[in-house]
Amino acid sequence: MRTPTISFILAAACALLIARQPRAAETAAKVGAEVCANCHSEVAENFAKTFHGRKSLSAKKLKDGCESCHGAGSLHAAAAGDKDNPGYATIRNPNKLTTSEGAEFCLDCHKETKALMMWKTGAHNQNGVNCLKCHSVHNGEGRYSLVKGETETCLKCHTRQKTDMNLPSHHPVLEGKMTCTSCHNPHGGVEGNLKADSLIELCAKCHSEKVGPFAFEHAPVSDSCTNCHAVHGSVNDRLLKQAMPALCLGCHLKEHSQTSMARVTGKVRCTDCHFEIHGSDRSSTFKN
Amino acid sequence: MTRFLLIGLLMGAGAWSARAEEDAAAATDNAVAMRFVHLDFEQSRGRVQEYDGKLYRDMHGDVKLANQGKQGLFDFSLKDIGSTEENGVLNADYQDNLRISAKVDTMHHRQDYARTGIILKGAWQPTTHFTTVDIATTTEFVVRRTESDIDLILLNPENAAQWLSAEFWTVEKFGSMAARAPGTASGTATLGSANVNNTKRDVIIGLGTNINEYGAVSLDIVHSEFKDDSNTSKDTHAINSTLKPIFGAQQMTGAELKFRQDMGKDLGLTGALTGRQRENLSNGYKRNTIVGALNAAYKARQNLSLSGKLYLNAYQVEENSGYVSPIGNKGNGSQMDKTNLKGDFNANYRPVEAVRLTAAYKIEIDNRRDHGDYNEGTVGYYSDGTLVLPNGQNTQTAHSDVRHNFRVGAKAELPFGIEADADYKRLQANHSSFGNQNNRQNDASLTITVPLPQRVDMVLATEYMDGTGSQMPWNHAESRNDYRASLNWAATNKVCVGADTSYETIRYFTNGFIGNAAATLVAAQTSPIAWHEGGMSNRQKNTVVGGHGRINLPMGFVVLGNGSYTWSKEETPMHWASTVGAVGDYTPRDIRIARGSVTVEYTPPKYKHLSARAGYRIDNWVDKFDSSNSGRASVVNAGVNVKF
Repeated sequence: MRTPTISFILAAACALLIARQPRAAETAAKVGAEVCANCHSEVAENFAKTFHGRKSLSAKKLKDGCESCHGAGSLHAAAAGDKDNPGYATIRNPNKLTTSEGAEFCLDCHKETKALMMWKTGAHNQNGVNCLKCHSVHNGEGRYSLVKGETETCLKCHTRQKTDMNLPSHHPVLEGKMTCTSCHNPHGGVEGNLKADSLIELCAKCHSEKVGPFAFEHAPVSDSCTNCHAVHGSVNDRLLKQAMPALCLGCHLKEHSQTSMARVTGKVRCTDCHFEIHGSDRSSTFKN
Repeated sequence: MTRFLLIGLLMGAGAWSARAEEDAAAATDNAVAMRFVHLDFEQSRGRVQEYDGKLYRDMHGDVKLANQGKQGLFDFSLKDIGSTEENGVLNADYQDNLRISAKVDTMHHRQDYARTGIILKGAWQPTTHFTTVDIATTTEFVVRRTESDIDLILLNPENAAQWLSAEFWTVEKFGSMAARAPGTASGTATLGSANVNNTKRDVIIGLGTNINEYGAVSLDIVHSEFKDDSNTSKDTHAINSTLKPIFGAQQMTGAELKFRQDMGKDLGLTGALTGRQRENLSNGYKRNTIVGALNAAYKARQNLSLSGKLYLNAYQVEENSGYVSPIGNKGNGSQMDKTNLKGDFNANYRPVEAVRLTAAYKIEIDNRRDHGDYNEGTVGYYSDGTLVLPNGQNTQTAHSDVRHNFRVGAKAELPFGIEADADYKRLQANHSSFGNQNNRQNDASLTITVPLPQRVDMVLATEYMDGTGSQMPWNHAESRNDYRASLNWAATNKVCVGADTSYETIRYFTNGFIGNAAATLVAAQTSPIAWHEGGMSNRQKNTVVGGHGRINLPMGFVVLGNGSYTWSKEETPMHWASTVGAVGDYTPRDIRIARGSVTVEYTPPKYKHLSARAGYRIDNWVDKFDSSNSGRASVVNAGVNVKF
């Protein structure tokens, strides 16, 4: 009598084990965002307030809610949190992907975006910084789902630029009137990580009166604004790298001769006389 | 600003709200805030509130409207209403077809005239020689800058890779700035106030499409115009001399083509081609530019990726040979034309998952044509006594130079979650492009990130740079040491604090700073030579310390605070026994800026749609040499926010 009982128990155990395993080639099916929210309630609540969450009501690519990105979730849901269940890992988790796979995860939908034209060859992608370093789909702020605000996200890694912006002369980034992306393209640009195809064209967007072409040019200005200016911040007024006359004397061997001490002690900025230092349409010595 | 507000309210309250009501899943997130504000300031606002021109009087307000539904989503916000620095944003998406975004932002920029001085007989003495016209050292110069931007993108609902776009961007500046004009006597100048009134407008029309399953192309046409309508003021001391600004009208037209193409799974190509002409309508000069870029990224193996970039930027100036300036000068017939060619090659290798190695090489070739050299027309001595006769030296612009940049780097994930990132770069050029540039330079950096318990991250970073330039008879050299430490702490939801500190020194060395009997720094034959401490012409030290925190308290209270302290010093030390006394420094700076704010927020646990907020902010700017730049500003605000 013992043998049939043992056989029955063994058979029942096998049946249970087989029932718990996904059948060979079983594919997951979509279950809907409400099922995901049963376990991931906090994520679902935050997601609804994000740009992706709000957009999921109208965008075709997001019509399946969570499963639009993470894939069909029936097997993952059926695993009910059991990490040993093979179905548990069938859900797509970008945090478990390599850097480039993680980027491809987002590019499935976003590769056609105008802003991402140069992404593949851009500096962030080449240095292993993928979308998830800056963007958070579940908790991101604003239209671009950034992990922090538009400036704080960049300054998390770029600490030297963060401290430069605290120097006496700086662009109004920390004041909130500009952002890093006013000048830089984090997704890759034509010239490095700049928004324009050259530095002088970038500066010309806001400072075109300094760019010329002038009838009387100052060659280092036409060459590059960074010959004289430290763009992220400086101790000197007007973002100059060095105080005058030291800045000018770096190229101009010596100041022109003067014989009056009153002029020497009373006048120490070259631009006190050479005011139109970026170039002039009137005077070849930039005095007018 | 009123038009922007009305448009936004109509669009939001009308079309989208009506649709949203039909959708069970739709939701709105609207808010209105009002707050009382008050500003106190002492001395000058020119530096302490360089970019803050808000009218801190009576009340400011904010409005935010947001909703979304099956038809799309809509966001509108207008902040700082009543402050004269309103900031408005509008975003509207209609399903997958249309995206509209618009923005308007106003800022006041104070730019007091930059005054400086020297250390004479141990005491700081300010610049004295100006003749001022209708201004004083306390006169404020403020420019109001208003930026507005409208962006439209029309997408093919069947193929999101096909789109049409249009962007209209405008910046208007109005106000006054400090301006200079040469005086009638040689070596004198006049300082006064000049009117600022100019506008810049950009229009960009674009289109894009995919060209196959793995590639796409886009084209943008841009037209830009700059116009100056300012009134100039005449300098009564000098004939034919006007105070600024009179900026020439300009226009620019260009076209930019971009493409991307994946060649299989492992190779991606991107590129761009731009043609542009920028014209100064006041003098008839034109700059024609062509830019081309071709980039490739190749994944050779799972742990090895390579990239290569080629970049060309060539511009040529068409001079207007007939141009004569208002004061009778014939325009320059030889402006610099330049070609810049770059090649940039990178390899990233991960021998094991925890280690990432990088090697890079960049070559940059500049060719400059058709420009003159600036001739040093006067005599001078070097600090070693070498005599240079008049016209014996030119300030040259290099006609061509080749720069090689090498870089190696390593990033490693160490035990206990520590990450280390080390980098070394080397520049080797045949000579400098300009006298103040390096043709040899080393850069080394090290960053270590240490995770501590309770989700604290500590980052330590250091960078070192030294470089030399040897284009002309004198040598230029500079070095920089930079140390940074930051702490970011998000322990629990109750407490979150962080700190940033940095210290750097920058040293510029030049031995071309000379003088003699006839040269600038010396008035009489008896003091022939001015020389600098150890050959150094300029030294800067910058220290920044900052911290921020947020504490969640019981019963719905939250306290937020942040603060920073910046100490920036610049010295050009010298030993110069002049006829009027010993000169110890030519343009010293010592600036100390303290900023701090604390805010308390209260949200009743039972009424989460209501919140109250009170805050205090203080900024203190101290210029240790020139007290006319010093100032202190403090702002109090208290208000309520209602969500509905």
